[in-house]
Amino acid sequence: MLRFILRRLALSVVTLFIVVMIVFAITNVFPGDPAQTIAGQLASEAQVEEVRERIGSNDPLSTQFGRLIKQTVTFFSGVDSFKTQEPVREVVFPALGRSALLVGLGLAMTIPLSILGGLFAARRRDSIADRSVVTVGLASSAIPDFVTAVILQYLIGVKLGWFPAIASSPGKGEIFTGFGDLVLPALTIVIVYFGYIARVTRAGSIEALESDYVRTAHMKGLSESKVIRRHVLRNALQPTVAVIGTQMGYLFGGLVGIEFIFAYSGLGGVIVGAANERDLPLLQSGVILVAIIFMVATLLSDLLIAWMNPRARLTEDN
Amino acid sequence: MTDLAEAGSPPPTDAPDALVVDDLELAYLVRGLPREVLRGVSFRVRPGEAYGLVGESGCGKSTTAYAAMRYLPTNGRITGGSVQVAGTEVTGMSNSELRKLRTTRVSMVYQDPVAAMNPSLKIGQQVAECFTILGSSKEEADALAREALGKVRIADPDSVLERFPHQLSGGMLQRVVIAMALASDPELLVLDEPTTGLDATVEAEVLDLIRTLREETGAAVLLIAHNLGVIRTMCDRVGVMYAGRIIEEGDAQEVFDNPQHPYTIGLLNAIPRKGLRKTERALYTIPGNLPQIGTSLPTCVYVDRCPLADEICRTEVPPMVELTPNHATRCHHADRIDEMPKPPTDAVDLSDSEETIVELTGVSKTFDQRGTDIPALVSVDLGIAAGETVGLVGESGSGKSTLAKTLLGIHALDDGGEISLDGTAVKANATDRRDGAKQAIQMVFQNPDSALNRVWSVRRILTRTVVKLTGVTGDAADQRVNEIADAVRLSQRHLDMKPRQLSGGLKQRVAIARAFAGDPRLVVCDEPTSALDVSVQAAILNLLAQLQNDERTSYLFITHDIGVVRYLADRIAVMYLGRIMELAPTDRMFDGANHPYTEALLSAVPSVDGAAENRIPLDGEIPSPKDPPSGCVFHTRCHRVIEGTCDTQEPPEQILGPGHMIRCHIPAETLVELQRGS
Amino acid sequence: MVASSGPGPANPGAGVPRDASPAENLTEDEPIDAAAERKQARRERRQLLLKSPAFIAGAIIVGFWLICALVPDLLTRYDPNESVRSVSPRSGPSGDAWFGTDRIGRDVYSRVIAGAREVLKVSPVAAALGVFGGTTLGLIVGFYRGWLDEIIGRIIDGFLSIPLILLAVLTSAVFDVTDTVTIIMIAALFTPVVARTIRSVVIGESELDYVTSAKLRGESGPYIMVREILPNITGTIVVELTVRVGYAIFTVATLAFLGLLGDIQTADWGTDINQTYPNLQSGQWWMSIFPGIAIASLIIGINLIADSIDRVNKA
Repeated sequence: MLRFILRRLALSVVTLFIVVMIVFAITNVFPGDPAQTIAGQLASEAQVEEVRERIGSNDPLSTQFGRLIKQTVTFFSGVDSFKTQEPVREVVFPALGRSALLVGLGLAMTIPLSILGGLFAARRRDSIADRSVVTVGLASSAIPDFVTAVILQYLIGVKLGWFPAIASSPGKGEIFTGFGDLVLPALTIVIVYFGYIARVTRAGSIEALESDYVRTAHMKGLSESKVIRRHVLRNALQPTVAVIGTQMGYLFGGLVGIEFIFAYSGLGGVIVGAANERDLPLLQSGVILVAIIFMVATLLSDLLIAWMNPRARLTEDN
Repeated sequence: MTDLAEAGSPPPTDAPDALVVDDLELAYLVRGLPREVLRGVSFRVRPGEAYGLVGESGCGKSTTAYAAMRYLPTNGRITGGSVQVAGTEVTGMSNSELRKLRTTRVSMVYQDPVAAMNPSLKIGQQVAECFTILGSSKEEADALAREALGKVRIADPDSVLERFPHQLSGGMLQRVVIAMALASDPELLVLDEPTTGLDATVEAEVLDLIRTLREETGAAVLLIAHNLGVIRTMCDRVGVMYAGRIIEEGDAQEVFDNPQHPYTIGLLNAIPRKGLRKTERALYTIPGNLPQIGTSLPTCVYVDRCPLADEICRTEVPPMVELTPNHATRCHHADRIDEMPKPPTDAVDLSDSEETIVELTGVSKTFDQRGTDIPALVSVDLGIAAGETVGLVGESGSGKSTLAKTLLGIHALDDGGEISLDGTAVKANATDRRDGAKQAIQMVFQNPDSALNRVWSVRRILTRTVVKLTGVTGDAADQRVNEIADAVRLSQRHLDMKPRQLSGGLKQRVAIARAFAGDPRLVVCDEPTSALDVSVQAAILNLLAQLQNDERTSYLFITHDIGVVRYLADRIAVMYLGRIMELAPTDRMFDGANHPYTEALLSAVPSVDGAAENRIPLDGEIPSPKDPPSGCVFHTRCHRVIEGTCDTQEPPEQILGPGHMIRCHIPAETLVELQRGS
Repeated sequence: MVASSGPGPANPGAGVPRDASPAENLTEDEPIDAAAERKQARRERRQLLLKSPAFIAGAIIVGFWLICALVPDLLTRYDPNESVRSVSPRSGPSGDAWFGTDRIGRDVYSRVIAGAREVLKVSPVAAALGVFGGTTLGLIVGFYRGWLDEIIGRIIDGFLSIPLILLAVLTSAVFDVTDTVTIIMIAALFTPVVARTIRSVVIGESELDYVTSAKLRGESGPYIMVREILPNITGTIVVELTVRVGYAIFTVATLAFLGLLGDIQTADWGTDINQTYPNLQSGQWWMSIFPGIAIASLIIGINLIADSIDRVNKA
């Protein structure tokens, strides 16, 4: 088991390195001169040059790349935003916290619902109930997140007024801005992700329910509920755990649409903003952080799967 | 040991039959319409008796077995008849009654023990579960689980209890499954192909175990198998099934020695029995095909393939005719059974060539699995002469598949060995070989579904092979394709079809045609008939023998079926853990003097002609190639092992007779005396 | 396994010779009925697809939007870019303006119909390119394996650690966004994902014996990949293509919504929502909700088609 963990960690480090390369590659193709933006439109060439020296954009690419690696390893301490000249950490980490809250609440609602839904559908395979769950899930997942957000915002936020249609702006470093702010965005998450997770659970459950070992359990004389609890769940939920792992990773940076509509200041919004402003340090730190979270999430889900499935402990990559 | 295991104390005569199946009709609902699968099956299993249900694939034997436990797939329906287990009617039971039945009265052992166990739970947990259902506490159940593993002769129960299923071998897992089945001391034990997929020596152990446990517990046994030898050696009575009906039933010995139904006769004639060789006669094949699944057949189910069929067979279901109190057949013409056409007598000649065409010298193959070396082949020497068939026999890990693939160049042999064709060495990798070598050595694979490209037509498959291997194109290529299609009895119509439109036997003919496309010198056949039914197998074996006779092609024929290899091969090589342990002309292989491993192997194979004399049990598991024993690799299980010698030194080659080589420390004369003398 | 095809008439006694001589006996002679049966069964499967409600619903929806994209004038009531005379701006749905009017007074309904073109101009091509690239990459890596597979695998892992939308955001902030650029960008971002799916299918196929048989004939790698393996994985490719089209539409719409695709004037669903969603606060829902429903319906339609093809493949 230990070897398995170490192998996965080593792989993650390699992947992280590649991510940094990708981010570096893309951001260095940026047109325009960040130094100009910082110095301001009215600055003289000399002043701009001074800024260039300061931020190091005159250095050879390899040096710049090395610098980015170092920054990654130290979690971007000491790196300042181009725009505000303040440490990126003070922007990025609170945003991360806010995203974490949102993702946490969203998943806390989605996961039980999806698993129960998937199991429910699997046990009544090909019945009307099954078809409904699958179709509803398909449809709701297909709607882009921002469209769902808009609909929810109008119906519940504006017309019914049950929850704030727009989140309040957080103060500097403030992570929790009130439960109400979280509800509608989290509800959007539920609608968007329910279908996908439920279908994966359904497929995994069907495979388990039709397996030979479940047949053995029935032949032993176990009751239906015991069969499900002891034999089906552990095996059926493995693909679900894998999917939740990857989706959780994406949720941290991928909720841009939702964040925009509800004016929720999560990590995705920070990144988009930074992209628009050409604020390289902020942009780079945000994207790399997102990738790190993704890798942590998938590592954790892989560990969970290995606990659930002893065979997985042998192979490094399934 | 005699055929019929002596049952323990005979059960009281007033005990109800363990199983009574009465005119059982079962259908599967496919797209809303019922497809008949069982068409009125009737038989009974008396208390403590062993009853076998035998037949080819699709006959409904497994369905019947599961029906005895009332385990039907979601679209299965019992449409008629009744099933009674230990006197209680099963067909109308409620779910809770059914659970009670399964917990206490009936138990099952399955075909694939690996799949039958939950991969995420430890063995101990799964075995203990059988006892907690019966009401034991957790501690009691754990203790009982350990005891149960001891009853099935597992040597180290504590360590096995802690393992997960994927860490145990098939044979070991099957013992665990048997232990679980016997936990409740059932009155009826149902076994569905319990040893299919296990190696011969392991199979023999498991069958021995079942026999012993039967004696000890007095349980009745319903055994499902397609292997007639297994049924013969394990069962008191047998029912032969065809297309959802029992067409012959009786005492096992009686039915197999003196079959009375045309199908049973055909089946038994299709198997190479009683040491039959290809030089004696071709195998009898059954013309026609199984009836379509699911059609209603108010006729004799065998009518389309029966040589005795006439009008009445087409209009009425034949009744069961009792020939003797212990033997019944379902036939309208039971009295005319002597009019069955005799099997033909055309045979092939034995190869008499001395000219070696393919020579393997010191061929080894080691695989590298994440740093560890796995020696799959160790220094193999083998010569194959023109027109001869060399049979290759061995269990899992023996290296026979690896040998085939290395010979073909799919794997590259290790440095130091050589494979030569007509005296010239060929390159290790198939892709590097010159064209002449490529077309000279070809292969017929085990699984025709995997071996033929699903989206290509047969014609395209053959044409491309001809073009690529011989360089011939256009009309000449088409002509060649027609030639080889003809040789394997494929019609023009078949050529235009895709593989999935063909049956297993037809697909395998395509594979054979493909192998012969380039006029090969040697064709490696890797278990070419293992996936086919007996009647189809016979046709393919006949075809292979014929082609060899006509084209003087050599075969390296890999199989686990001793009867088949004895029939077809001129010489036989027996492999164990990557080494050839014995190599001999076929006749000599079976005349009483063998390597100890071969001796045990031959005695382990259950034969439809009756149990082997002097069954030699082999202890323990087949070692893994990853971790081969020291000295002679067989010493850990050898019943003639010499302490001090066999575990330290590799055995030398010895000559037991003309052309007969073994690798053993025991001096040849001593071995012959010991084996022939006893 | 002996011949056992699906339901159908029993073999009408194909004359069984009395004195069966096995040497000449076509024991496997498939009755013509059985072979024709199987062909029929495949035709049935195609019909099954065409009849499945999911497919029909999806096809209708997608078909509708295709018509809107190709000949918008057929269905629009007014010029989508001009404000409507008879109705004041910011009015709700009415007889004159079915979906209401936006801030400048343009007919929302006509804008919705016309907006299909922007989305459908780009997405199918981008998806197709992405699937093409991914299939090629997946075939190569899946067939050859080895160090190439390891390296490319890690690069793909790297790409997949970042949500697609962020990558799209990054890239569109870098380049001047024209239609061509969008297509190439999306195709490039889809390639790793598709490659991964195709790779695992190709690995499965490579393990089958017909590939080994081809190698034994001396076929070259490219030949095996393209002529032997590729025709066997078309089912997967078709499903992947359909799913990717849906994803491409989603990505394009989101980018437009985030304001990253420029061009404010032409009718475009995403951009329209971007400009009108603040109006929700004041209760003016029609300007953003109708374009939203349009996007949703199109993607749902595509997913319904993808799902029904997938089901038929697996049946």
